[in-house]
Formats: sequence, C-alpha cells, structure tokens
Amino acid sequence: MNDISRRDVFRHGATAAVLVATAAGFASLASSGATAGPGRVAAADPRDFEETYKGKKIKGEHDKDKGKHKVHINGKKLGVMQVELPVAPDSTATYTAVLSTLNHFDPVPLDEGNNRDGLKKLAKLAVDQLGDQELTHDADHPHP
Amino acid sequence: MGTRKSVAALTATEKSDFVAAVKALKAQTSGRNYDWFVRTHMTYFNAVNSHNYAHMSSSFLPWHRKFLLELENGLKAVNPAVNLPYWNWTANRSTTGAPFTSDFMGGNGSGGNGAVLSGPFAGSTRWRINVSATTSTSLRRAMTLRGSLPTTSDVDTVMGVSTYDVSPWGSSSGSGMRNRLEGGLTPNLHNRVHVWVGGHMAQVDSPNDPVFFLHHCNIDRLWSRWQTRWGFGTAQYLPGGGVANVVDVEEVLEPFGATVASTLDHRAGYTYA
Ligand SMILES: [Cu+2]
Repeated sequence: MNDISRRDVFRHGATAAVLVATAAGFASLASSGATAGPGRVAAADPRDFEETYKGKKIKGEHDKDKGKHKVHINGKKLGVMQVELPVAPDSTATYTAVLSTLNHFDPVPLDEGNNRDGLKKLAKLAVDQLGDQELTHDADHPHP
Repeated sequence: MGTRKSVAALTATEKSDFVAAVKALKAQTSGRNYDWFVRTHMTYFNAVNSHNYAHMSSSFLPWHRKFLLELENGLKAVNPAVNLPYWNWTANRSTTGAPFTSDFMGGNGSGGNGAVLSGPFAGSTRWRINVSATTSTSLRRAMTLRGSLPTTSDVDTVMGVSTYDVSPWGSSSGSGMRNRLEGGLTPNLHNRVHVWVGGHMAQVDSPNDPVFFLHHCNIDRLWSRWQTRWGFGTAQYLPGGGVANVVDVEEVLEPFGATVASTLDHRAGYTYA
C-alpha cells in the first residue's frame, strides 16, 4: 500500500514538491545527525513535530515505511490509522490519509509534498475535538 | 415483524418508549448492555483476525445490519413494542428539529463542542459515558462545525450504482455502491454525517450517542432500498468468495456468528416505512 501510494503521488503531478521535500529532508537529517548524542536510535523524519497547541503538548512521529505513525497529546497516545483513498470515482489511483480515534470519519491527506503537515493537522484536529478533555487509554485502540 | 419508522413520524409514546428502552439497556449490568455496543464498535473499528469486519470493507453494511439488529433485540427485550427508528437527514436537516428535540435525542452541545444541555441524554447523571477515547462523562455534540448532510440527489447517485463493491474491497475501492455509501468515495453518505453531528459521534466510540443508531438505521434503510432495486440475493453482494482478509458472502461476521448471506434479506424480520 505504501509503495502504491508513493507511486500515485508521482502520478498526480506532485513530483517536484516531493523531490524538494526529500532533499530538504536529507539536509535536516544530516544536520540533526551531526548534533545528535550517542543515545539517538533512529534518524527523525523531517516532518516530526513537538509543540504546544491550544495549551496541549502535541508530539508526532512519522513511520514512512510502515505507516504506523505515532501521535501523543499531553503524553497520552492517540490511535492513528493510515488509509488509502481513491482520488476520484472510477480511478484506481489513490492518495494516503490519516485518521484518529477522535476524528474517525474525517481523513486528513498525508504525503511528503503539499500535505507533509497532515499528521500535525490531525493532531490539532484532535486537540480541537478534545477542548477541555484529555485522552483516555481507550484513545489508543489496538492495532493489528 | 417490526416496522422501522422515520424519527419524524414517531408518536410521543413511541419516542418515550424508545428512550426508556435505551436507558434500560444502559442500566443493564450484564450481557450485551448498551456499553457492550460501544466497546464492540471500538474493537471492530480495526482488523480482528486480519479481517476488517465493520469499516472500510465490503462487510461494512452487513456488519452494521447485525449490530443494529442486536441492539434492537436488546431494546425489544425491555419493551417488545420498540422498533429502531431512522433519521433521514436528507429531509430532517435542522439542529433543533427531529431527532434533536428535547423529548427525544436532545440538542446541540454547549458552546459548539461541549456537553449536550437538553433532553433525556443531557448530563452524566441522565446518561453517563463510561467507555470512550476522551474523558468527558457527559454526551457531547458539535453540530455543523465540520462535515455536512447529504442531499436527496447524493442519495439517488449512490442508489443508481448497480455494482455492490469492487476490488480491493476497502477504503480505496474506486467504484461500487458500498464505498460511495460508506464515504471513502464521493458523494459519501455515511462518514460526513458522523462529522456533522460531531462530539462523540465523530469518535471511535460514536455509539455513545444514541443518534448513532438512528443514523445507521438510515444507512441500513438505504442499503435496503438499493437491494429493492438491484436484488436481495447473494449474487448482489461482493466479493462472492476466495478473497483473503475480506468477508466473503458465505463467511461469518464476528462477533455475531452469522454469515453475510444470512443478513441480506431482512424482510421477514423488519421492514421500513
Ligand atoms: Cu457510522
């Protein structure tokens, strides 16, 4: 599915944007690698984030290979699922999107081009949905 | 045999009987009580035994048909006169009209995304949220902030698609009736209504809002309408067999222990008015 979606991104004319994003990605990987301490396990995805939004700490880690992205809000894990959706009726081309246990019927496009901030958008949507609430342990539903 | 009516056609007694039965199922302390339905929906949102039984799959419609029947049977155990009503959102499009009246489902959340303030499900002493992805113990709604309600012409478009579903039988199916009805594909009849109601209805624990069952009853009615036009037989459900990790027509829907084929012709059990 991941390979298919990446091919489709190219097929849909986002080639230039993807290449630019990838180049920028390598650059930031190289610089973070230079300053990283010995405890560092894996190189971060350039789209990863950790910031405060509407008073809540949002943290996102991308999993480009398997699509098992991680989002935490105030330290609690939000269940995130990556899905493939058709770009149009009667087309076999698809795009990649993410949804969460709080925004379950409202997928947000995610790629390395124009939608590179898709996971952060999803985290912010979840914060909007939460309002004065916090996540429970049931927000992290089991994944296969 | 039961007749499922529109929420707009219910009498005052039918409304109060329905609410009372739902509350009795909530208060039940064992078996398939109301919170069992919330928990089951959460569990089955994901793949179970490598099958997507409930969502983003061909079996979205038969799985929810069984889910509704199970709930309706639970309500009938309390009061045999109760039938599930449906919310036809192409006709009833107001946040204050049926079903969102104070004698039935109650109204919107306070301040746009807060607790429901009116009706029998307002506040945690009347209706307590026990199983949820979020900490609120009161039912929440955020109507109209996101999403939208489908129109009659959206429904007609979906009803005119003769093929039930197409490969790969999931969210990415580029054609077929099922994905257009479920919402992976435009015009999207199901997903955006969850989003339009908002609050708990937008979450994985959406059955916490009893409106869930009225919305899904309408989805089931539309499938029934499609079946009336194109056929109730097993040949009208796809895939017919041999597709790994997809519930084929003779495969069993869990946790109900019933095959898809057994759900297709519902007319001996209930009909729609
Ligand atoms: Cu639904």
